[in-house]
Amino acid sequence: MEREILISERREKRVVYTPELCTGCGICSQMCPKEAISMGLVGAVARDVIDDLAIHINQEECTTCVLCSRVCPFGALAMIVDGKKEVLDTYVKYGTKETTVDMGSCKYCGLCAEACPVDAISVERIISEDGSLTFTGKVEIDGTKCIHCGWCSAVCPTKSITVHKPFEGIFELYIDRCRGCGTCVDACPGDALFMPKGEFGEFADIIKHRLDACIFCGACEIACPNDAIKVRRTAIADTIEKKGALEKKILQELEFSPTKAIIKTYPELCHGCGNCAVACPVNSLYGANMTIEVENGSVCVINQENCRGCGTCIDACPVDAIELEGVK
Amino acid sequence: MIYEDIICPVCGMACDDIRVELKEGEVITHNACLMGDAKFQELTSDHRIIAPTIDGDVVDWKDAIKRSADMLKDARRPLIYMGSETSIEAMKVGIDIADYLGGIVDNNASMCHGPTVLGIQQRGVPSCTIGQMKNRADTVVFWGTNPLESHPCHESKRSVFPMGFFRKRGRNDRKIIVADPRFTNTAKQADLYVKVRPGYDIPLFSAMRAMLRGHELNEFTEEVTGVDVETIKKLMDMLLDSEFVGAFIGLGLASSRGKDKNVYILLELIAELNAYTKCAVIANRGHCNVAGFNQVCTWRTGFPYAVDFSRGYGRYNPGEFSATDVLARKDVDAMLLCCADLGAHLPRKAVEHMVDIPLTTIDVAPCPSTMVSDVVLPGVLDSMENEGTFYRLDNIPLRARKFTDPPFDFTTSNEDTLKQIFEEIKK
Repeated sequence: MEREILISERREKRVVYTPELCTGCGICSQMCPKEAISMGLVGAVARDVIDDLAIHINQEECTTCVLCSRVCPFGALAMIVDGKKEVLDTYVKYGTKETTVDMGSCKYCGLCAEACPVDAISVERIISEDGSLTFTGKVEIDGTKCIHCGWCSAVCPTKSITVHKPFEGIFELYIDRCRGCGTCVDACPGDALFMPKGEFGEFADIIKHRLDACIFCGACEIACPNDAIKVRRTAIADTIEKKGALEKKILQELEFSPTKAIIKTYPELCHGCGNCAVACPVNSLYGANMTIEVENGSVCVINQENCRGCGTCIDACPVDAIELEGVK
Repeated sequence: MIYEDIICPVCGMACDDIRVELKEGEVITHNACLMGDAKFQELTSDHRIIAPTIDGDVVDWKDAIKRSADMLKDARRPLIYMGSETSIEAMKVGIDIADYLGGIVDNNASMCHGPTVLGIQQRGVPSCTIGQMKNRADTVVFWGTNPLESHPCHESKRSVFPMGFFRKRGRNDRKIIVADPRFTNTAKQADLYVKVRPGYDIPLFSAMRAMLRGHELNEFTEEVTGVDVETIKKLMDMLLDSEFVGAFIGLGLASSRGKDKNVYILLELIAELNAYTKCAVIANRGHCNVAGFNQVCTWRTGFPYAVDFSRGYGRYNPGEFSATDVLARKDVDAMLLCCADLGAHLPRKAVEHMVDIPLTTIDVAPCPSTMVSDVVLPGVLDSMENEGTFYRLDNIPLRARKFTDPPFDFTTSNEDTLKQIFEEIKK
């Protein structure tokens, strides 16, 4: 059951947030004219190591202006008017053409359902009763879940599926800053980022990007603790009405107000194994300017301000001696 | 004053990246685990033994050395027990004393990874350094060992989390397999946990070998080993899909039913696995320099531990000449105990004999062994107060530097103390 959190209410209008649909891409934060939305610890939320939300909304500042709902590509922020969700072409989520299946050529093989990273497709397959050696059945695409990543279309053997992407953009990876922590992989909603195993006996790339599956949402950029990823959106789909207002803001370089990550440690539980210090991607990037270290046999935070809240240390700790907290 | 790259003299990891800060009677350590830090704190502890005692009374150093030497000289068959938290230079002198007196020399190896050494002697070991494990292993196996408790820095510095040459993504580049009857802290982090029935490692290794040779396993496999066929299949698939398997074995093998045979069969399995992938094994030696004793004892006597010189030449027979057995059988009539607290760890029967015979203990802090000793000589903290050589658990020698001086001037190291006793014996 999806949680729904009421963000603001003004007369008959309500803005509702669904955390399960949110990837922490930060487009809403970029769009908000009142700067009422700040980013949470997106990496740690994606890794599921803290009980927090990917975005933090200052409800007092919110004017229920609808811009965040219009721009959210995942439908995580919804505008409810008179108790009914607004589904208009002025919204990025609903203005982007729906993913459709040409039922005439579909063979019901089910590859699309298998490939879909958000489980938005269900395929029902029945053996034909017309005497031919074929399948018949039903393919359903849940528009609420669909993120237009393009996996289904790419894997379809009969090219029966059409996907339209909400954004065009550029993805850049600065591999010299990457320490292979995998936070971006966890944050990516479309399985566009992955860690290749590599050929037997050869060096594997630390991180690889599937450009065709990328929707340029930018969740990876926000989640990356080492600023190794840069995502820029260059265009919004033509089918979205009144997109001029959105273009001004979200085609710019991503600027957002990050939440400060506070590492809480429990020295009484710690064995001093140092897994956290070695696993920390920021530690290994900055060398002497350590974030977290083992001092006198137990974990010790040296530079709190270095922490970007990816949660790798929590994953590495075998005795639950570390917690993260997001503070504005 | 800050000292960099100090070697930690506690567990077999012999971590060589410890940073120690000394300031006004305070010791601050960096990169040392809870166990390592406790050892470094001994430098300023108020219970440090700083004066020699005979029967509990503080005496002159020379008197204590003379008494120790006399007790050993008067014995028909003394036991020289060289603990592992000292340098190999000290161990060498201890072995020479046993050789000279026609006594027995032994070390923690006999009650720790002794069976592993026996298994290795029987089969030979495909091994490598722990650095190679770090750089190459994409599957790390912990069998019968819980390094997060016994070697806390094992995973962070050498086996699971560090970035290796071919494993740049650290933990994300490695699969972890843990085989243990208990769901330990190490097992919590495993990609595959194998819950072995205690004492049934040999049937499990045999089942794995059978599967490797293409045999089908039947339903009795689970009944005997405690592990279902599906898990064994998954385990074998993970091992065979790996580019390099790094296996770490612990006392779960060496100290459970089967002992050296557990290790023997495991080594057989690893030899067979090497036909399909690369697989190397390292014993997770518990004490800092226990591997060092095996090395020194081997190049001095030809045998790794439990060596008897009573016939004028070295004889090796663990179970007959190992410390626990000779004490329990009352086969020794004096003892020199260096840098190990046997009083706290041996069976009651063995400790009772320790109480009965003349006993000299060299140690840094009061412990059950010093309480039952006739002579107690203050120990020196190796790698802190004197330099020396330590062998890491993968048998790599590391030279430890000193960064401070002992709190007394009558000896500079445990090696020096033993040499003084040896000189006195020779008089």
